[in-house]
Amino acid sequence: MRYAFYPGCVSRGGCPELYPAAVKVADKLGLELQELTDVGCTGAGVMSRDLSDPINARTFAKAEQGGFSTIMTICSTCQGVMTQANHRLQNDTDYRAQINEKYLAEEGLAYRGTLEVKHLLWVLMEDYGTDKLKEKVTRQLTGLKVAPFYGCYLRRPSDLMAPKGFSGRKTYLEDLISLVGAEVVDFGGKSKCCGFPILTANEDNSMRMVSDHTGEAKDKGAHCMVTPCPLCHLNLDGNQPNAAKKAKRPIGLPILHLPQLVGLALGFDEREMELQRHIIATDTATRNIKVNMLS
Amino acid sequence: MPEYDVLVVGGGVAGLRAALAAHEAGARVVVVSKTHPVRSHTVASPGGLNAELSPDDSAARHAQDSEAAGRGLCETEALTVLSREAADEVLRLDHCGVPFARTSAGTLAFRQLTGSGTPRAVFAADITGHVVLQTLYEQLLKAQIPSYDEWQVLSLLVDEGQCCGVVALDQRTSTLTAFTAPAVILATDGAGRVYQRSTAARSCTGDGMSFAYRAGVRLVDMEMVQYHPLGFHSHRAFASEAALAEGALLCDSTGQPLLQPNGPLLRDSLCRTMAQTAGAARRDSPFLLDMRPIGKQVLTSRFPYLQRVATELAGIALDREPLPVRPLAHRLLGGIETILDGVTTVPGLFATGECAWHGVHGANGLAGNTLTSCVVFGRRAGVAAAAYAKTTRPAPVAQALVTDEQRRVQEIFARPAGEDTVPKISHELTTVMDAHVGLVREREGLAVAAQELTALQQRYAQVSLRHHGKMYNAELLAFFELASLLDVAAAIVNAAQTRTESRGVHFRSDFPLTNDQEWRQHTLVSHGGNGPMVATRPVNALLSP
Amino acid sequence: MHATFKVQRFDPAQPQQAGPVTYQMDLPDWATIVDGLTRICEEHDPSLAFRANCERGACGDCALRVNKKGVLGCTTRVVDVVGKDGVVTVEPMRHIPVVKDLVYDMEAFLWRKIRAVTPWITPQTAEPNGTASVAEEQLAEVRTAMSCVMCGLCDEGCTVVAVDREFVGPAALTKAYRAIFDPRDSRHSERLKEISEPRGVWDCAHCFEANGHCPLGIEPTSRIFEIRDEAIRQGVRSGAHNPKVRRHYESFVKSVKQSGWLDEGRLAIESEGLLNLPGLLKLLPIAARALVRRKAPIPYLHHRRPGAKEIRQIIDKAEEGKL
Repeated sequence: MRYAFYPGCVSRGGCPELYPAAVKVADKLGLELQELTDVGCTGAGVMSRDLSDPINARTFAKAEQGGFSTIMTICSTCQGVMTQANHRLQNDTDYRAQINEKYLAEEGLAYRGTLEVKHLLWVLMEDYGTDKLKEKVTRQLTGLKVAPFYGCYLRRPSDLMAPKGFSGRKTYLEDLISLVGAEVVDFGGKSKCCGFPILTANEDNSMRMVSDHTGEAKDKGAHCMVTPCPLCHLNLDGNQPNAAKKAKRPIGLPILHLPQLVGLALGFDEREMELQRHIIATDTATRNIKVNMLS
Repeated sequence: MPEYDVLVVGGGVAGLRAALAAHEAGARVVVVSKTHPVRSHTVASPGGLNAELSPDDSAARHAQDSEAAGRGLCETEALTVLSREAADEVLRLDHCGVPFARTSAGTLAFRQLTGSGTPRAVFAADITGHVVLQTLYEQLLKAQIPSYDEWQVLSLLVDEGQCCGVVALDQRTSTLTAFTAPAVILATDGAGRVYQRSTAARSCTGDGMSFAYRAGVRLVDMEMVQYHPLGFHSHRAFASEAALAEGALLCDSTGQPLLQPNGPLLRDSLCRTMAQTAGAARRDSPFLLDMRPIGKQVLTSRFPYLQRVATELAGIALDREPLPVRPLAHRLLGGIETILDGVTTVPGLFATGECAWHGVHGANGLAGNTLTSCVVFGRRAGVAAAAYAKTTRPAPVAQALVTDEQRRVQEIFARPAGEDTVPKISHELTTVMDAHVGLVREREGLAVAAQELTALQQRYAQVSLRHHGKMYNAELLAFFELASLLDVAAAIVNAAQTRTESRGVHFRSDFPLTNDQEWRQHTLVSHGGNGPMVATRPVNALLSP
Repeated sequence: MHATFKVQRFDPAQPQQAGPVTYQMDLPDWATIVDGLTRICEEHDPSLAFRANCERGACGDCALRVNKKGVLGCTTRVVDVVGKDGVVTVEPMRHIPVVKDLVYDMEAFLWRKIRAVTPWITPQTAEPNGTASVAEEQLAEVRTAMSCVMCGLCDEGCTVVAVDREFVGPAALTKAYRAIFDPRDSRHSERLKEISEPRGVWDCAHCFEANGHCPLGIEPTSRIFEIRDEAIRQGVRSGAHNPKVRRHYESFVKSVKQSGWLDEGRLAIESEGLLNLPGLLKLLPIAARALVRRKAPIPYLHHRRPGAKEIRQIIDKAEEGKL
């Protein structure tokens, strides 16, 4: 399984623990990743699509040039933005031709519309397969109660993100949590917005979303949350103290990145997964993992 | 309560157009509507507005086509007004922002609806009424005209023969308030809910018709009930006739296209053909509307609403299967007697839109004239009402009239409980109307209907309310609406009994021929102590003020 | 078909009695939720209050939550939603003040927001000009946006409305779209500025819930993106009251232009504004925590990736095309 790897900006910026965790996990599983090193930010839903569509088209063209059929992301936002851009470029041949001519031709590039973009979560559950993944689990995370948090861009628009035949994507996080031996804590906010996109425009609303979702998961007994999106992580983890203060309630719910959860189950320890970098200390969660005498 | 010059009852296309025109003429206007304006039944009107804007068209041709469709019962002067003023009204609507379809050259596009000799209807996909209503509502907000939404008018205030306002009930609290204004415009839509098998929204209960009727105004041509050929089989939705114009096929239940050898049939003939075909085969056998010849692209761009509701209500994907359809009672072509400016015989009382008879639809309205006449005559009524209000001193509200209404409501609440209910009476009413006063009428059936209606009226006089709550009491509102329905139903039956011929949408199997010698007449129903009284008046006899 | 309707009842005169009430009935296969509610009123409990009018999905009056999903009651057939146990749950929409049973305070929820976006167009000419040419392609988009029946289901599903009822909401933004993109309107740039005020278009979290909730396929979130992109093209990122959004955007683009990817540290600082001491001071606790955990990206010492030059050229070219 060979993928053009697109790590995004935050996995080596505000969430520098994510990149090494993802790479280590991919390596252990035998996923062949070739990083796209000379491509740009997807725009994250912030940049106008006038700018981000050509930049993403260039990324796609570079991946095609490298002989890849699939780009792998480790960020829900990258995944969502790229899927939407790809959808436009694939379905409107005139549009794609315009972008190619105006922006990519100079560099000798052209996107032919052949790529698929897949998040690591989908790669694990679809390409790698749950049976194979189960075999690789050396440490069951028994005792750990995990609340899934998808990040809206991984889920919606649902006709693009979970098209016909892929409705299973709506429960992959829960499935994965169970697969690694942990207990799923279901809660209402799991596919809602974390508030990160409106942090600048309306901090109060953004913090409200953080405290609502982490608070709800905590109240339902979760030891931690797991998310496939580092932007969600920035808000849910990095801004959790601020959100708790505004909501006038204690929260203290650690947030794990998806590869960290998988990594722990594959046998990596907390330092290898760089859990010490989190703002909300993760040991309150990890100490619940029962020691497996037989491993 | 602030002072108003013009009070409009009803927030649909005609009411809003009248309100805006009165406002522009300098009047202080208020709209009182029993639903929020954007919920009005106008939204169900899909097809288009006829207007003589195409270079191939002329006002005279539009009037001619309308006259031909009307089967000899149209008022010539009304058609002249309609056909002359339609163009300006459409351009005005476009100017305020209605997104009518455009050609590739960027000019207004026209549709040729059944009965029009040339394409002349501007349209917006199959949601023409909806976007017109939304635009007029935007204009209402812009003009800051106050509107009392979900206030149900219970009666007119008529003092010494002059209309001076209304008494309305706030649905939220069931409290009564008197609104005084020297000019009241009724724009309360038709009364399709007298039938169960109809396309009418829940609000179409003939309230305005009933108020005017009881105030002494006559109801004209009430026997003329137009059916729509393309109603859904089990719901009130219907496909725009524009579908046929765009190439859809109407077939019988075996899939055979209905023969229309001399070109497309107008609504009256088409519905009757369908009724006769169905009668010959199985009762209630649905017809099929095959939209596939239109092609997927045109289907999606021109019939998005129909595509959606066909899937949701009938489970039919229009690009793959035909839609079962059947005729449904659609509109009352007659209504409150008015002359060209919406003036009635009661000073201060005006009427426009579907509740009014302006003389343009005759015995079979031309497709595409409905919305046009609502805006043309709506504007005229607004202007006339504003002018009238300027020269009239508002009559002080006789407190006695308001107290009477309050007492009436209290008495209704105080009626002793019984087995009978408002919904029971309503259902029986619609059953009677569907059975005997539908597409095909005859003397015995009409007599039975008249008898049943009398019995229902007597039951209505006694029926009690089961729910005495004051907040959003649906039963209380239905109680008042039932009074209107009974009045309108009685008028329809009596007018149908009177017209002993067949003309347009009124078909008597015992008088199947059109009798121009004796029957180029309108029927006029007035409210009498012993029931409705019907008179007649020749076409084109009396019109202008 | 036999069905059990479980309807959420609420009477403000007796709030303590609020809760679900069950009604059993036999309904024809074609019956809709509105038909079921009508049956309840007629035969079981006349005190039930709900709104409905057109009975064909055209007027928007009957928005409800049926089996925890926002729908129009009159185009939802009971047979399509009834569970295996024959039960269908009917509740009011969330995030709206409920007046009684299934009747909401639409003024507080929606009508005032529609007014707030100045929904009427301001024509370019004083008098109608019948010969003016207008592109059908543009009007088609406006027509789709205007096909909105104002049911409120998009606002009900909105993640921002859920925490802030003052957010203008996707329904009002779709109405604003109608005026912003109508080629006959003359207030294009003013409207973009107005919609960029606080609680306006930049408060949308673009989570795409609205697209999933609209029963008519109008895609409010997609409309919102078009408004944002147009505002950016016209140089409008926010009104005078929210320059932070503008600074954030400009910093983001600058960062990508210079290095190919995002310098978050710089973004945080420049969003507050280099001279904005109180704003910058607020960042200190976050920065401190991040530093201690060694997850703070050092602003400005941000390495330039290969490809940055080409990406910068793309951005320059794209921005040139804007006004």
